Amino acid sequence: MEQLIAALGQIDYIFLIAVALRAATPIVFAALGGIFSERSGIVNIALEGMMLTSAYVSFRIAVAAGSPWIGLLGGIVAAMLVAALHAVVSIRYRTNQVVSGTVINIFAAGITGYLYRAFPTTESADYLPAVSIAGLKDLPLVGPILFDQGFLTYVMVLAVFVTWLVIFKTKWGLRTRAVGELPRAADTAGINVNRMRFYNVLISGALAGLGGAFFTLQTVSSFTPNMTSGQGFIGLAAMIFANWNPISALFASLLFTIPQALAGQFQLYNVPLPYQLLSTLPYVLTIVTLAGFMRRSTPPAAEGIPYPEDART
Amino acid sequence: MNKRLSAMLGLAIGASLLLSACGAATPTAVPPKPTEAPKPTAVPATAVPPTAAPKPTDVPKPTAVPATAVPPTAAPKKLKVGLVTDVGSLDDKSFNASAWAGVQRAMKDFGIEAKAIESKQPTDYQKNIGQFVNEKYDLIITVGFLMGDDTAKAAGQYPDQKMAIVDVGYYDDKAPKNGMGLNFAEDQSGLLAGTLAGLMTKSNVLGGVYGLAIPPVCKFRKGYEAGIKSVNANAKVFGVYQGPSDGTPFQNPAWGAARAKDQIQQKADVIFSAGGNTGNGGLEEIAKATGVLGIGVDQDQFLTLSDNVKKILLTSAMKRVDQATYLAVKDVVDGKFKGGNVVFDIKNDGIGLAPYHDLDSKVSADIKTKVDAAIKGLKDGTLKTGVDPAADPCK
Repeated sequence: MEQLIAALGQIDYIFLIAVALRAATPIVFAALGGIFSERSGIVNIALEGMMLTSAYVSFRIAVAAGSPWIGLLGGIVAAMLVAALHAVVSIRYRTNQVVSGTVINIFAAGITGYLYRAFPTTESADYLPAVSIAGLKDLPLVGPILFDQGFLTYVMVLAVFVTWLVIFKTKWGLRTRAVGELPRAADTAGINVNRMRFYNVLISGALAGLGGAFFTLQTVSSFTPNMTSGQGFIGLAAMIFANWNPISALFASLLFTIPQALAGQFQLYNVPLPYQLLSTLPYVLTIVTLAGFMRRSTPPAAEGIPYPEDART
Repeated sequence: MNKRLSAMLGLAIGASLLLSACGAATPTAVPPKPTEAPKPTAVPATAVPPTAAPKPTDVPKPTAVPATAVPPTAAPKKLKVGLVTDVGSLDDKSFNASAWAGVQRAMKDFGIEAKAIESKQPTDYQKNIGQFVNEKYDLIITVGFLMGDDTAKAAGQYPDQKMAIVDVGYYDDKAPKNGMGLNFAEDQSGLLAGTLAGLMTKSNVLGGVYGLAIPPVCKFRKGYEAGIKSVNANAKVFGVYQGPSDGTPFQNPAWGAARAKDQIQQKADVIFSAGGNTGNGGLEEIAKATGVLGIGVDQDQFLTLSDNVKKILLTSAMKRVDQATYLAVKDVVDGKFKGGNVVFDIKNDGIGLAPYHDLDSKVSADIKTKVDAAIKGLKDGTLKTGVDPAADPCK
């Protein structure tokens, strides 16, 4: 107990939150991607595979082109292509969306793992610039958290607010939610349901592409197999926990990464708490939320159901 | 309700994917069963001169894989050695590659015949072992913890078939006499890394980013920390294990990077990264900082990691799987093969530090002398790591 209190006094909490925000970057991108896709009615568990694809492609292109910016672009395009595949299979061919997503994840892990081995390299990609805003980063409290981060972390925070605006304040968002809740009504009102869904899945791919580039263009300068390490799935858990709301998703993601960062700090200071359990806390919370114990989570009503419902193709 | 179920299903599938992914390729994740610790007394191969050590550059090119044999028509019956990989392949830059490199060296030195089979999936293990048994191979080497059960089964089924397995220590005195478990004194390797780190530090703060807390990893850490204390009693030492839910075990470089950043912020200026790709993420983070050095693990990682990491990689704490397979073959050649656990340590070149490479000029002659003294101390037994081979090192 004394050790715990001593450690709690030693921890630099500002630094801890800064590290947690950095770690949350790919999780939030995945959650936002999930929000666009699922708000329109398409379950997207392929985000993990899209991120992994982007991590690989953005690394390769960044090295080949000598520019992380071109790499970033390449990663986004690659993830959008994977998203297009998921969209076509789910919308045009009406496949079970969970199955399609699972297959894509396995395929992405296989193909990137194969390419990694087939074309070995020790080259490092150049990083996207870290943005450390002189003056502001020395502000007390928020300075190191908000103004001394990598490029994609800023993009992530911006994307949270843009997603919120798009989903809740624009015609596009209204239509997206309409096709995800009551597609038949939306159809009657003249909205092309499947086209809306297709574009929203593409947007989710672009966001997953940004999340994937975080691994190779901001965190480490090289690709290793399976390096996304399940962050796409954690993003989906955060999305559910946040009730498909982008701003809540940011905080839900931090709820996942802060205990992880704290577990790391506890180990540094030899706090006799089981660090293994601390990192599982967010998952327990997610299950509790999913099961509806804390508050109801209400997914889009038409999620996972192809449109039109009774089509026989 | 349906929606919620499908969301749960999605997450469950995700989780199972994660689990299956971590089963596949975890370089350091190969624990000998802690309860059945290796018997150090069984070392049969101390006689090999240190000069037999291969250059780290001996790692085979992927193209060299199907090397079936040396000349096909030698008159006396040639010894045949078969190697079965786990689901990792021969060019995995890790265990399998290293194990095969040792067999290839034995092929050259002893004129034996050797063949490798890559397992595509765990269900192939038995089939691949069986193939070598049917073709009457003299020694079958299996690589890694994942193959432990199938190897034990085959060893029991064919009591005349000589078998050896890398990184598994389940053969005790009662086990069939045809099975050999090749284990490593990771703690000695860690001790040498710690000795170097303790002498190199300027801030007097040292760090460690580790994979899962399983015996080989814990032994690396304990040895490292003992090494630091042996030369620098006042140093502050940090260390963090990856938790089982901190992403995929041994494959989460972003987690490793974040933990290295924690320690750099605490002024650590030499950090030991021992945790597969998780640890490699730590090394990448070190490369972003200035004035911080990293130490790799298992193999000479200078040869495989990215150019950024090469600039800060002081050395690697190696466990020489190639040396273990080489000596296992040599035992068969010399007619000295016997079952039981074997520990590869400093005495038979089973462990050691990799060259300093680009940072050679940064390591003073004085420090090099002291590291050499530690090597000598381990060899003649005057220096101990304090790790009891019979106890669970993770406690």
